[in-house]
Amino acid sequence: MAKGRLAAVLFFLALPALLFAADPGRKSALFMAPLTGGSGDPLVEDILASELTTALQNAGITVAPGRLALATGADQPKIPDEQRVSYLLRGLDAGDTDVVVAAFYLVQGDTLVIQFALYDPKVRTMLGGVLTRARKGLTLFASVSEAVTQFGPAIQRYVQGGYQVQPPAGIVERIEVTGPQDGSHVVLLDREVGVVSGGSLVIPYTQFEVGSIIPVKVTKAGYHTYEGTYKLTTPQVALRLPALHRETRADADLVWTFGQATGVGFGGRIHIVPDTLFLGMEHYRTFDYGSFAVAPVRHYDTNLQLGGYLIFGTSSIIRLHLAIGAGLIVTNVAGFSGPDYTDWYVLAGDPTAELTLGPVKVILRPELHYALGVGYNLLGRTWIRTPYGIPPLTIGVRYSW
Amino acid sequence: MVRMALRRAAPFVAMIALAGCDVLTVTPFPAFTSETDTAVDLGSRIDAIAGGKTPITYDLVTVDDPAQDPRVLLLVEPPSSDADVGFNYSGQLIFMDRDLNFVGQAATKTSLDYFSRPYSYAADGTILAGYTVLTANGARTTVPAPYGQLNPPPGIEGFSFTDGANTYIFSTPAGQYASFDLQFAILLPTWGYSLTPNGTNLAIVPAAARPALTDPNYANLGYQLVGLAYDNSTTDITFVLSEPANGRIVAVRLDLATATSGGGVLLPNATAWPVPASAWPLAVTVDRPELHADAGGFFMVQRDGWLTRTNWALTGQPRQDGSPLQIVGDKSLSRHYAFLNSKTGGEYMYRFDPSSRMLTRYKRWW
Repeated sequence: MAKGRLAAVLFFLALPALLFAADPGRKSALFMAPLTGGSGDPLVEDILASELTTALQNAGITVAPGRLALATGADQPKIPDEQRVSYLLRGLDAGDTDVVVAAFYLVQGDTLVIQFALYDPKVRTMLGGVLTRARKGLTLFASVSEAVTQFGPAIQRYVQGGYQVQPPAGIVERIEVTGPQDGSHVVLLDREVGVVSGGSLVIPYTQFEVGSIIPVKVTKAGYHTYEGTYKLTTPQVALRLPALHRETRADADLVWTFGQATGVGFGGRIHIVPDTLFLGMEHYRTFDYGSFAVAPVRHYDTNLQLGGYLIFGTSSIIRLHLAIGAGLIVTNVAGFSGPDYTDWYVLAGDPTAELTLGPVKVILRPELHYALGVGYNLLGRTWIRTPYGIPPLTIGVRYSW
Repeated sequence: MVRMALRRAAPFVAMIALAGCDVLTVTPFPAFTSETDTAVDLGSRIDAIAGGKTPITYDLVTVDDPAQDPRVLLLVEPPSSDADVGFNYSGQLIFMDRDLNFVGQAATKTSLDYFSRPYSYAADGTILAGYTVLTANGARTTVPAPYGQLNPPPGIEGFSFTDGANTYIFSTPAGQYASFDLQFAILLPTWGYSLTPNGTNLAIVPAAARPALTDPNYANLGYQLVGLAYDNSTTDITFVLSEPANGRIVAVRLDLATATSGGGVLLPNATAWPVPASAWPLAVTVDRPELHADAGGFFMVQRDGWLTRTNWALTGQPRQDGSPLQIVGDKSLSRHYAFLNSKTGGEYMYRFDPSSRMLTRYKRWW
């Protein structure tokens, strides 16, 4: 009698474990797709299917024959446009399966990256997942097998805990990106994870392991793309990225030249390649009202230039650009009935330092101009220099937009 | 507190203001630009002379005499080497008045003749151009007979002037880069030589103040005559010499009688070689400039782009009178300058630009 009672107690104590460890009623279906979209790799997918089927069956989960496919249609999410796994898997026709086992893989050179996910199609919920990396090539079968082995604990957690999915240890759970302007698209690794809105972008679930070093790219139309590499050191990561630099389309300059000190100049530039290559025009004129017995002399200096930025990137506070081109200085002497003096010249570099102070920049440059000495000219064929042997120096402010 | 700060700042403000004035005047453009007065385009005349031959060389001079109208002469010389006939000189002189009005044009008698310095008015109102005598309008003369040419020709690249009825020519001896003597000739009213051909010598420094003849560099030492001014009232000649070996311009004055006595010495007190700069009444260390001397001083068109006017004392030795006036000039070495600095003939600077072939007159800036 006592033996019978003891056996009944032991049976009831072990019942939950028996029920969860081998629930013959659970059904699963497989879904595989390349991360980059397009046609898949049959070999990779076959090996994945085989290994996953074995792993799932070993966990007591029935695997439905065949593989699932995303629903087609204009309004259905697609890879790579839709990067959120849960959104993608919503489009699956999973029938009565309990769980969808998805494997997104990416072949980059000899590296195989696989993101596994467990998805409950009935309640449209992500249950777990893991991101694995392995070498591709002769060891492909073993690599996939190893990757699936890494996925094993997630399957076990599903089997043992049902929907009580615990955050996997060592995985980055949340990334918050701040810094870039609203509307900036953020790409982690090679997947766009969202658009900054309200000053930040929260990525609530990732597959990155803590300690991963990932490339981050931020893009926005009309702005220079930012690219950097960041290490994800904690499960909750705050990525402080710099604000994107606006692509300069045009500039307006106001300048003053030592060597033509009684004058002022203005100029404009159009950027053929934003902040890289530009076409410009500048005009400088002097004001001389003459003095006793001296006729006013006025110089009108106009030049066209083609230039480019060197050395420092668009985010640098100091940049340097060079320009080549041609110009003409017309000198008018009041009261002289003859022709105006005309000094044609070429711009031989005009190295310009540009200090960025917000939308306004301060520029400083020596005027490296070589007078050609053609026509009725004043300067002859020579470098245009002040009497002290140095070229005229120009300082100015530049407004860019 | 504020007043104290202002008081302390006042000297700095004054310094900045002074510096500011200088900054405002710094310009790459010649300072004489504002004096631009008149200009003439000589392109068509030059084309007619050169006939398409290049390169063309030029010389620009003024000739002045109290009794005559000044003339501006532009020598236009196409290449004189001809593949078929060898030396074939086709240079011509364009004669203009002080206002740059064209008054005449002169060619040489034959293609074997040539024009050169010296250029000056003679006592009879003719103009001596090298060894050719022309009228003030560039027409040929028959005096000296028969072709209006001095025979033999005087030393080229010299300077001439008139005293009374005679014309005097001083030059560095022909064929010498530099010398310790000047050569002079005296021409009578009929343009005959009063001395034997090529005149005689005027020593620059005594024999004791010259390097030894055995000095292997002897031919490069000595002096070049780069300017000469004659004062009819005092009969003093001011000689401006370049000393290339030392990068120096010197000036000294000697009266006409002594200079042409045959035993004259420009710097008789020099005792040893090298002659120091301090031994000269006026010495300027400068990289050989283009120099133009007149009665009151000299202009230097310098290679570094400055244009300098230096005045000298009108009596006694030509010691510097006041500080030189220096302005931003011309960095181009291809331009030609001439100066007319005469109280009676006008005070102008002329500049010829070979690239535009424009001759421009500027009012006095000095």
